[in-house]
Amino acid sequence: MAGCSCHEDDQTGSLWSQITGECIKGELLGKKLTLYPSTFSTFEKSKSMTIIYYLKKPEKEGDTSRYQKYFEDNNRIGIFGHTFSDSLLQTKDRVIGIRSGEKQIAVPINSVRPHRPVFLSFAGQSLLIIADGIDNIACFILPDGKFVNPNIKTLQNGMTITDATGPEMIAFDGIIPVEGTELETYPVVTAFWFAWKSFFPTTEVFTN
Amino acid sequence: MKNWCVIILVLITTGSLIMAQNTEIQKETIAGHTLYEVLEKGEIPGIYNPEYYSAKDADSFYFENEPLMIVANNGIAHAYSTWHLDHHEIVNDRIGDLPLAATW
Repeated sequence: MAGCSCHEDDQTGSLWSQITGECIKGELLGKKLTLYPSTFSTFEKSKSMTIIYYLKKPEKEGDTSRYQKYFEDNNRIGIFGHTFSDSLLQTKDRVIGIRSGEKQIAVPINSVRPHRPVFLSFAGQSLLIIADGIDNIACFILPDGKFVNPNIKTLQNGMTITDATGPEMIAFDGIIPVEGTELETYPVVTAFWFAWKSFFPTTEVFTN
Repeated sequence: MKNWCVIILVLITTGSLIMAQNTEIQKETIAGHTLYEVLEKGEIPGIYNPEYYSAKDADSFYFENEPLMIVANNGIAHAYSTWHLDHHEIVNDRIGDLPLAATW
């Protein structure tokens, strides 16, 4: 759990782990927050969403992340600079972390490419992970038994996925389901491999 | 919904640590892990009572390639610039009937 931050709630002063959403200290010790699905995209790509509002902020306060150097420095782990050794992935590989009960799996972000989604069977569920660039990802729950043998057709700005054994089709504009595609999102987090592995030492790792 | 402020506390596994010597940092052990308090409460201010731009108005404030974290509830989405969240770490928000803390 190198480099994980915690948050404190004002009402009780309890501390909550950002990665696990669990209270680690205080009167709410042991309580868990519900992880809610979110997606990552860019301002340009988000404009196709029907009803979307953007958090107010100072006018174009900067055109990069303040942590950009940290992201790019593979030798820097956390604030203090720990050591981490693992042969499965590179220390600062970015992964999509998925949990279900006591099971976890890490999907390397590089496994998911535009027009090359990842179909994943995990903890009894069929999941679909799609990407439109390294910072545009989303995870959806597929209906049981559907899209087992998917056919993927590339569109100009997205793709369609059909089931070779049936008429069902789902379609995406980027990572956003188009009208008529009804899929439930599944909550995932993105993290550096060292952080995910530290929290979940027994995590599986997805391989193509 | 609970309001959240931000204390950045760094949770480090024991036995895998090389750290700079700093006797001023408060630390304690929780469930076998060392917890370091590296910032004072509120030093990175969380966002309370967030306000939003429409898509049209946001053009003046957002770069096209600006990365966003997006949360949706019942067809309405809120988008948070992660570059902006770098400075705040957390947004106390509500989308319809859904209270949430968007953390980054």
